[in-house]
Amino acid sequence: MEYDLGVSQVRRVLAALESRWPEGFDDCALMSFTHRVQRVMDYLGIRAAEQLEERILCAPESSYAELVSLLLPRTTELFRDPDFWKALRHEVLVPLRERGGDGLCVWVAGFDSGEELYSLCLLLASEGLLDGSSIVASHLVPHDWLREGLVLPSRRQKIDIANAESVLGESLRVKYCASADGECVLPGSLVSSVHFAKQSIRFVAWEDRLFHLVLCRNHLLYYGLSCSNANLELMASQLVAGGVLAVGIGEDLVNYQNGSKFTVLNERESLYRKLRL
Amino acid sequence: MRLIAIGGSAGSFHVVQHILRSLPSSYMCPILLCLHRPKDVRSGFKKALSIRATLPLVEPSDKDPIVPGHVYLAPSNYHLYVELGHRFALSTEDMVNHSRPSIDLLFCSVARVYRERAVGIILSGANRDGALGLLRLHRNGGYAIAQRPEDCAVSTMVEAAVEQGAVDATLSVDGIVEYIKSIA
Repeated sequence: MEYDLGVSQVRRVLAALESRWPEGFDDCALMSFTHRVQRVMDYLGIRAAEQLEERILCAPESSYAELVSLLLPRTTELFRDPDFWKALRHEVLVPLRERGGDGLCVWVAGFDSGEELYSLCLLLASEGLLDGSSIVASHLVPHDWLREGLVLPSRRQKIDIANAESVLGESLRVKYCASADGECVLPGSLVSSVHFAKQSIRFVAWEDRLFHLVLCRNHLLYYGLSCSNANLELMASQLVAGGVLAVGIGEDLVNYQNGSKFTVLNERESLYRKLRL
Repeated sequence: MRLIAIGGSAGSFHVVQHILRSLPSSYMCPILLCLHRPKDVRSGFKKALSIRATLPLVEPSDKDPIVPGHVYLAPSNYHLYVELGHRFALSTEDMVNHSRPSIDLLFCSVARVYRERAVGIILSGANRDGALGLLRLHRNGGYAIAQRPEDCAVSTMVEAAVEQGAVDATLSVDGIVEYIKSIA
């Protein structure tokens, strides 16, 4: 946090990103983006925002993935908000299973670093619904590398394991998230059938696809109202009637103009159901 | 619109309770609280803080407007920012100073957006979170207050702020209350 960045400097960095790779960087939540820019400057040993701006404008295409991974927020816990995952099981998965369903079509939207996707797959597996489900996971840069497995950072292992046990119980947690040599690796087999796809910051419609469930948790946080409203409208259009949207527990659809397309399924855990019209 | 941001950790809870009970119900300046809190306690913390508070206490959602006459508490396991346009922003990013919510992140955003209209107050706590943010606030023209170290349950947090040269005044808890009342 060494560099004191002004709002106009951060806006110029965003403008540089958007001009170099027009993906919707021009409508980012400024203050959290400022924090990430400062971290990137620390990492790159850059002392002035103008240097970062120049580096972005002159960056080769091959550096895009690394720059994006540095500047976009990462998911910071496995099964973040365990009560949410329990509510998802109770409100969506168990009723589906009881109706004889063997899976659902899911879109994991937003720029998940793997924890959210793996949490979903673990939960589906625990309910016997993983094999019958069709899952699309989207990112600015498709995260196919997640098929190799997900290594949970050792500094965070205690939290991740506690969250997983809270949702799955101990025996299932041990089955899927066993530690060895101080490392916890989730098996890539959990995501072997996931379709990893590219998606812009400003979402673009999937053709010929409708979903029963869209997970977009703690993603709208990072973008301004214009982008978030557009993305919410797009997600609503990609859900079947009565389909479920999950946003972060710190996100409230009342703040978005397209929030009225949904009714509340579970207010505390920010689960919403698309209105049947 | 002026804005008051208060940060605290170990030993600050009862101080904040005292502040919230001492303000008139007509008090209009928004107050933001960033208190280090247990990650998985979602509603009990706010409920306990609200007891006998004279102003409505809210845990804001992302993009909620900042409304005069309200007290806002950073939600558990999120960083809290203020954005241009008098709205809140949340973030789930990595902890800062082992904390989420981080006082430094809130104070830095308050410093950038509110500048000379900002008041930052640092209370008792056991780590250095908030010291750098209070310095930014002070350098951007805001007024920076630290609880008197000898009155703190744990003085690490306020001493870190004083060491940074971030502080305009060190006050007793009653002194903090009187200052807050004076800028209504």
